[in-house]
Amino acid sequence: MSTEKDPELEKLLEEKAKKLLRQAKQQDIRPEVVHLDSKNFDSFIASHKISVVDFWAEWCAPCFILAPIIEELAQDYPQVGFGKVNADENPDIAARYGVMSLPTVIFFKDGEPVDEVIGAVPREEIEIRVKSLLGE
Amino acid sequence: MSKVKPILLGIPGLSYSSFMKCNPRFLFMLFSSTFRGVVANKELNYHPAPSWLSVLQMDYQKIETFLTQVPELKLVEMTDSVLINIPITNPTYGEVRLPYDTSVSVEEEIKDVEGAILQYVEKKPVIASINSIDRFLLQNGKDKCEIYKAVDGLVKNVINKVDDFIIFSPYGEPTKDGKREEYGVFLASVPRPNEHETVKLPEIGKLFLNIVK
Repeated sequence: MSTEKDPELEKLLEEKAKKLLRQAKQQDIRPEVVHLDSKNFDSFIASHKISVVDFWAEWCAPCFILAPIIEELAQDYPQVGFGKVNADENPDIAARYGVMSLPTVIFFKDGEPVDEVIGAVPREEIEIRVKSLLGE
Repeated sequence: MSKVKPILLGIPGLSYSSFMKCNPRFLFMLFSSTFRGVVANKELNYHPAPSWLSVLQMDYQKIETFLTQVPELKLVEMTDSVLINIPITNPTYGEVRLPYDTSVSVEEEIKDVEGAILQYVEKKPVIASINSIDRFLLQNGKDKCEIYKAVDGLVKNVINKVDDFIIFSPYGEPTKDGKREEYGVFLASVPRPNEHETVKLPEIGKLFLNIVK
């Protein structure tokens, strides 16, 4: 078998590599859960008709079970703003909404809290509220 | 009749973030019925050796890769424990020694480690590691939930035999940047002093020492 380089094959491989890179970049552009604090919290909920905010803390094990569900929903409902607040680092925001246990998910419509879910719940528990707020 | 000794079981790569997706039933049952926490490991989450060594020395050990010579291990000395499949060396260290790559199947590792644990746990405290999640997910070589199911089976068989235990992962699953998630799992039969704080690696060794004593 020849070990010489085939320019046509090289070109094809290069084009394929470029295509794969483009696809990977496109896949990376997706809605994320925004980390919120006292600097951006108010503007975040004001800028979304519907927003969902997950209150969590580093030591809270159920918060880590819930987090991937919130991330999934953020990708599936790009018209909704999904954010997360570290309650230990932002006690003022947690106190403002009466967050007493973690995780707590609060649903906002037009900047006002309208519903909440406490604990690590299945995706459906959160999704049903999102759909209801979207009028689906 | 001899009393069964405590076990410290490490599962590198085990992550709360896959609990809902993979639904490991026994681990979920432990999650709702035992003392739980979150292991925080932001500095040593690049490799199993420094993380595990920090547990065994009860102090942070910033090494880059696997050891070639094993020093005196404080926790082992102080508890007279038996080590099984600990990833501080490659092949792993202790009564079961397996290469830290994908050459040994999940089933084979679980069979060997479970056998060794059940052999020793009536005689000595046991410190063991099951490394399949970390070994295979680093290579994207296998379905994650299949591995979780197999690991869940081992945890069930082992924990049903003992009274006191600590199960932990020194970090979570591999991430795209070649590291692992900064947070791991902690489940134990005994409470921790500061349950509203993350669990630190040296603290895990100290807690096990307290259980044995």
